[in-house]
Amino acid sequence: MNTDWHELIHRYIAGTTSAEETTALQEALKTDANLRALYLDYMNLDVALEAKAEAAEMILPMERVVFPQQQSWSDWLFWRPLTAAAAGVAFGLFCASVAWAYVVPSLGKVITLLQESFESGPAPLVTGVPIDPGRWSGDYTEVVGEQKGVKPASGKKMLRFLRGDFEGRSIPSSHSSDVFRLVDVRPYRREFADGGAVVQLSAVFNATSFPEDENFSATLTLFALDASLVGNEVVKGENVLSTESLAFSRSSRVGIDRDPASWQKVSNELRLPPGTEFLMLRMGMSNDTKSKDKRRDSFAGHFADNVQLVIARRPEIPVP
Amino acid sequence: MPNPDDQHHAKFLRLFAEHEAALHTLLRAMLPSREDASEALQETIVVLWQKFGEFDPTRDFKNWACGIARNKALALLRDRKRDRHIFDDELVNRLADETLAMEQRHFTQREALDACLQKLPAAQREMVLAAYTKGTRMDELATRRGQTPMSLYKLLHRIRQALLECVRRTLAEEELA
Repeated sequence: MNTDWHELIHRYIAGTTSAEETTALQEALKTDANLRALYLDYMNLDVALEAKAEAAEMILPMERVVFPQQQSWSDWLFWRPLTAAAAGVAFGLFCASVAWAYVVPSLGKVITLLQESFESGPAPLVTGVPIDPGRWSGDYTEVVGEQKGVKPASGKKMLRFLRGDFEGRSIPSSHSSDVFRLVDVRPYRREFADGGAVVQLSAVFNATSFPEDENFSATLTLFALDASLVGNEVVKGENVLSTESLAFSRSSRVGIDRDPASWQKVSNELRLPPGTEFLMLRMGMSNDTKSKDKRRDSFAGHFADNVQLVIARRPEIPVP
Repeated sequence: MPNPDDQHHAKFLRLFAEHEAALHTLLRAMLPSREDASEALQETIVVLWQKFGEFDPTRDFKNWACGIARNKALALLRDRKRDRHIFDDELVNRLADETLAMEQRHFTQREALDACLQKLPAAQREMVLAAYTKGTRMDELATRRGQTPMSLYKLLHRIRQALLECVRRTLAEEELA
């Protein structure tokens, strides 16, 4: 390939070609398939570099969120940013570690803080409440593929709840398996410094078929924390999150049906206090069966998938 | 009970998110500048959102969205016929067709870009990202770097060419594997 074409394409991208040069490029592109491929590769690179630059402006040291391979994009939810002329936009995409924003016309900018489909990343820890950001930890859980008649809600993997206790702590009376994740929201202080932002946590849950005399439900809880509880073992104590958080919100219990083909969605929101520095997310699967005879601390086939945490500004409801 | 509006939003976002890169690259291939492509993309999104209620879910969203994007690009080009940087309709449409046919290739190249950027010396990586940052003026960037605009453009060209060779090499290696 004549390197002059690289130079000419670059100058065309820069908008500095003369009318004659543009015509020459046009006529060459019409007849030369390889040149067209080169030109289109440069255009693709142009778009990708623009996206990288915008993401680099937005990206902050925080959670790693891993993008899937293209073959799973058809199953992938909520990953790419969206622009809307009506509301003004921020892009952020293509990177492996990125918080990205999109715009929903009725909401304005929405920033995705976490998108988890369990396709990759380290296995959840089973050591109780995490004290550091970036990894799931809690009761005994594991990441699994399709099993017990349940297919992942997206991709090839999902989280399975196993037990209601964790390594080093046996709790026979437990009837809830919980997993936690700590998220650093300090980079987004500007968004909620005036109390004007809401975070929304959502996930889907499912179970293998279970007897009619048993009942299960799922909940999501959000705790707004300042930095004093992060890296501090005291957070592992019972009720500390509730009593020491700046604010918290638990979703209503969503009953799990007996159809392994259907996933139930749970959502929860929390308006962030201005001093929030971290969020602790909790996903819980609870055995609500009213039976004194049955043990309720282990789970035969209960799953979670498609966890998403977003933040957006939302005004409070005006009152007279 | 899920809010139907939220479900509608979420469905649109899922579909758009899946094909956003392909749409943006299509528009960039048809239009002479990044700014034109961004403008057309924003207009496309507004139309897609406005018409999403009429979209037949049995149809292919990407084809539908690309059709709207192409029309937006062609309309923008018609408005700027006197611009010396505009290609004629025959070429623009051929570039559009071939971009869509190259979607998988371009995806692989985009995936490889992170690693290729990391292979650049840090100063060059920072320069190219600065050059692509919205609102950056090349003359101001050149001044900040103590260079003339011409030498900055030439450096940017060399870096872009190196990046393209790198992502193309990655594509070739994957095809061989």
